[in-house]
Amino acid sequence: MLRFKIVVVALCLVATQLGLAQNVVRGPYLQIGTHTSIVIRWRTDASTDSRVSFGTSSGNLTQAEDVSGATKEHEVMLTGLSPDTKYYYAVGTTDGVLAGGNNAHFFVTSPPPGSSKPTRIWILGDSGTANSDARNVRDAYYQFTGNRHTDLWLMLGDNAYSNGSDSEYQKAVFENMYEDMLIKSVLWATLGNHDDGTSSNPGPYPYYDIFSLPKRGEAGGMTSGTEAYYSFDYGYIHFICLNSATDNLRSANSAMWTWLEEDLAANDKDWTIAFWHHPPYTKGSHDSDKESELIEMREEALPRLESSGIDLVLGGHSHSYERSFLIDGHYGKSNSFASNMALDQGDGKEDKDGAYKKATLGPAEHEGAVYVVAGSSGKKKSGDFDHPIMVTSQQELGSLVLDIDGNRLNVTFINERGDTKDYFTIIKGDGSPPQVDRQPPAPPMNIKVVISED
Amino acid sequence: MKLDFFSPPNFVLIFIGLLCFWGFPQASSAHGDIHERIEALTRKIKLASSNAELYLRRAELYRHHQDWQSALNDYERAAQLNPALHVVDLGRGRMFLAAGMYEQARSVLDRFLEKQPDNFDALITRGRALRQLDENLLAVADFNRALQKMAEPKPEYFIERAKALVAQGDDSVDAAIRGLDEGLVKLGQVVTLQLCAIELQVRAGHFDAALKRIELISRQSRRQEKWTFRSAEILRRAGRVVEAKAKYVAALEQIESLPLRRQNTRSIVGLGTKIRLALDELAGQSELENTNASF
Repeated sequence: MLRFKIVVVALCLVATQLGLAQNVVRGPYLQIGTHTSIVIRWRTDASTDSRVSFGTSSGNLTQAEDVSGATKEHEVMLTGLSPDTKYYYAVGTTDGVLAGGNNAHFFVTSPPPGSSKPTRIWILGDSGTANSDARNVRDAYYQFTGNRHTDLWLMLGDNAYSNGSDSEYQKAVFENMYEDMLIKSVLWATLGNHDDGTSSNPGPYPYYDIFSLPKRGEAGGMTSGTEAYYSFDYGYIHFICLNSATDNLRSANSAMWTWLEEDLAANDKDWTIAFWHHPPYTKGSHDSDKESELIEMREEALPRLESSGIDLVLGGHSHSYERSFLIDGHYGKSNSFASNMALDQGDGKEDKDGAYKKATLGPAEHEGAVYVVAGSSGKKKSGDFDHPIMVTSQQELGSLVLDIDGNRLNVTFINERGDTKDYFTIIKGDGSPPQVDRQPPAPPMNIKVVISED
Repeated sequence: MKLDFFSPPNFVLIFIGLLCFWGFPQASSAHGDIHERIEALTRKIKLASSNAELYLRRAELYRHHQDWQSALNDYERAAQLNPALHVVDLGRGRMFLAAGMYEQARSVLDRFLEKQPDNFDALITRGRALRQLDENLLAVADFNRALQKMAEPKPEYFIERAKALVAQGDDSVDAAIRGLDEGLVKLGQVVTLQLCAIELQVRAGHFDAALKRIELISRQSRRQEKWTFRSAEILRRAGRVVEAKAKYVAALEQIESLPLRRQNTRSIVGLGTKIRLALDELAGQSELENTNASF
């Protein structure tokens, strides 16, 4: 009898161990948010099936979405959601909840396409150091934003040093780092040169396993067919993510450029923002006059973007903050910058030289764009800081905050101590652009896919 | 020992030596902090000089930096230290391809694919080398096999296969289109694949099929004027003048429905000018045809 009892107790212990061994070790985190859908991901330490329970009241998660099949990498897509609506959620298995089901775990769906809503966006560049610098930058933003919800956030590449391995991502993004933001705001990422795995094993980088990114135009924009470059809409804002870290995508006549031209031609949103890792202009810890990735992106991406009405371009790579005037048509080296390429040579601050003004609300070619390098969210480095297009260049840790409200875009750079180190405003559609005597920019490109030999 | 200049290993070494002497095209272009990563690996190599993996990783960085000679040296060293590290040949293959040494790329990739016949990265790389060598049939075979093996193939691979097929002659255009359709089934309505297929179908005279594709892909876009213009151009090329005119007019109407500010942008003004020119030409053509008919 004693032996029987011991066996029963042992079996119970094993069963308990098996049953309770399921812990969430990554996430949950939010991906591909649209006005009617969202993807929720998490990782468990044991294989289970997947369930997301959700509802508009934290105490009453009335709906559930299940994915059968045991896995440690859980990815559940919720569909049929209402636009611009707050949902609470919990993740787990069909047997129980593993995380969430409280006031902290929620998401807000995007507003309907084209509709205007005050929007806050947080931008981190080269944040992947997993150290106190990155945490201080994070905390400064959390302090800055307070209870103001972050509608979405971007990572500008080099999200996990040194090689973007899965374990490095765990430390630089998921563990004791951005958990509080990951559970409530959709993160959109781009690939940096340190996210490439740099292993001798060919195959997809961990980046592509970790992030779910839109490749079928499911979040707006044209279908790219790849997670390497994509676009998405948030209400009246069109975001374009390009891939500057993959050599063959940057080359002339690559599929990325054809896709970009078509995506821009289809865009009718009030605001257009592009981001990728290697900035087209920098004199920080990198030099856009010398490095091929930066030169190629400037020469290939910028003419296309500017002829289709880009407003703001964000990059990282240099571990500093650099911010341009409102400029147009500068595709050469820094010494080829001419004053007539600056559509407004002011600082863009409403309380000083005045906000930058663009005549048209919506995409209109060659009305000027501001270029920002924000690659100091995890480390800072010095540089010459003498690029002639820059209003300011600073060796400061920090992150960028975008607030878009109607025809107004406010950008604020805050350092790791919470000090505002730069700010500027772009206003569209309610004023004439500055009158500048300048040569007309290059004519619009002939958009055509060339099937002939390259 | 007699030195045979044209035996493959010696030829490769001599060729690389000459290239180094003359300077590789685009060699050693700047890539920013890659230097730091190379230096970090060099320090590690000093501490563990028999670690083949470290040499391989540094070779990959040198390759990315387009420092071909240093990359080749490190690949060679990695292979010497660990002959079982077959992936060295994949790295070498990529390096030779990037350096424009297509025969050498093919040779090392042949060797690698003997060991790992289903490695899609190697298949794509060899396919690209074969295309450069004008071995399009073999390139297509490599692309086919790679695309079968890949769970999530990239759109550019389908386009590259289509180019390889088209390079074999007009008889292969239909096969190229079928290959693009395979990509569309796998990846969704990818605009780059559809544009390729449209161009090929127009070339092959399959105008209705091309028009259907335009209708399909234009659903992704809230702005229609460019797609309508494309349809008009295809109809005109097909000799369907009345339908072409109607489409041109529809494109003009779409432009006129845009906010005034957008109508006046350079690209839209340019598109409007093209449309009006086409309509004028078609009107002149009709007049000429009527005149001829009256005689």
